[in-house]
Amino acid sequence: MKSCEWWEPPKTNDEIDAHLDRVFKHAGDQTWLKLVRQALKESLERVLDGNEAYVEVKDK
Amino acid sequence: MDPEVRKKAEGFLKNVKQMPTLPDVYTKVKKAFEDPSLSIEYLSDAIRLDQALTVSLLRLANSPLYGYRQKISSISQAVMLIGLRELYSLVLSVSIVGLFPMKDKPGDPFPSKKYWEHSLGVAVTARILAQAINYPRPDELFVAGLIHDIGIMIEKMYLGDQFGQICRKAQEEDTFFIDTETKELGFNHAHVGQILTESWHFPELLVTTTACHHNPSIIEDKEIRLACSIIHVSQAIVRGMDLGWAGDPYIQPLDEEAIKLLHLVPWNDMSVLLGRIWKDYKASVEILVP
Repeated sequence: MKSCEWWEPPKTNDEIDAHLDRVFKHAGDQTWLKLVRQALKESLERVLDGNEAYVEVKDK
Repeated sequence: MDPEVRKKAEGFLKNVKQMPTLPDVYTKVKKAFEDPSLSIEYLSDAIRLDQALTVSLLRLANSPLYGYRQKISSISQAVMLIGLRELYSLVLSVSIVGLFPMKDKPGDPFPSKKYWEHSLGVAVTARILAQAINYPRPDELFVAGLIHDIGIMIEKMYLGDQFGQICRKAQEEDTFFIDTETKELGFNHAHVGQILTESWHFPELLVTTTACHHNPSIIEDKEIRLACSIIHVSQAIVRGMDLGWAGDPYIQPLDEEAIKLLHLVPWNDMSVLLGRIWKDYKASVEILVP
């Protein structure tokens, strides 16, 4: 996840949940956005585990 | 656009002494794109006169965005490999970003660099989604993504203190930026973007996606509605990924029709999608948003 002066990646699982709750606060109950949220959660958890947020895709 | 709203937006733009205009090289490339009788040499010569543009184009053509193993060392080679249409889109993209100053005053509530990072994020996401659903011209959606919020930059440059007040008000009152804009100005960035892209004589697709990216289902033309739905969904993903800044810390509820139109439910392997967006974003951000 990109970090900048505006935003630092969450440092605990609770902070991840709080961050996602904030970002998706007004997103409604759409199934597809729930999938996006879950994928973002997984990517932020990868950062906690010391990995890059997003797994790079080699094939195009 | 409602005539009263257009009147207000045009009233604001009338006070803008010098609207950004696209460089001559864009006009020449557009001409070459539209007139098949013009040679690749004509196009290459036109581009080569602009050194900064040539460097940016070659860096983009050699980046993982296109994934060519062979090194592309000239514009004519780029035309042969990535195609005239893609090159035209890249020229347009680099030209548009170059029109706006990247530096801001300290404490600017809406940093330009963050704005372009968001726009580029939407551009690469739209291109990837377009490829995923076999939309015929993904490069066109790259440009559409890059300019979808262009009205914000015009407001930022020419509204003066009022723009900062709108930014702060939206955050203090916890409202969506577009709602605060509309309430305070009687128009919003989508209206300004529409008028600007009309003045640039852009294709209908680019004008309409700029005008309707918050509500694509109102568009009658099926193909343009699909294109605009891709932009609409892309901006939500990019906001979720926290790439850049476009005025809101939140994802707005999506237009249900847009999701249906894109048949996005099969995209259940969202991590792959995010990984692909991240890869293309990283490949292009240092070139387009230095």
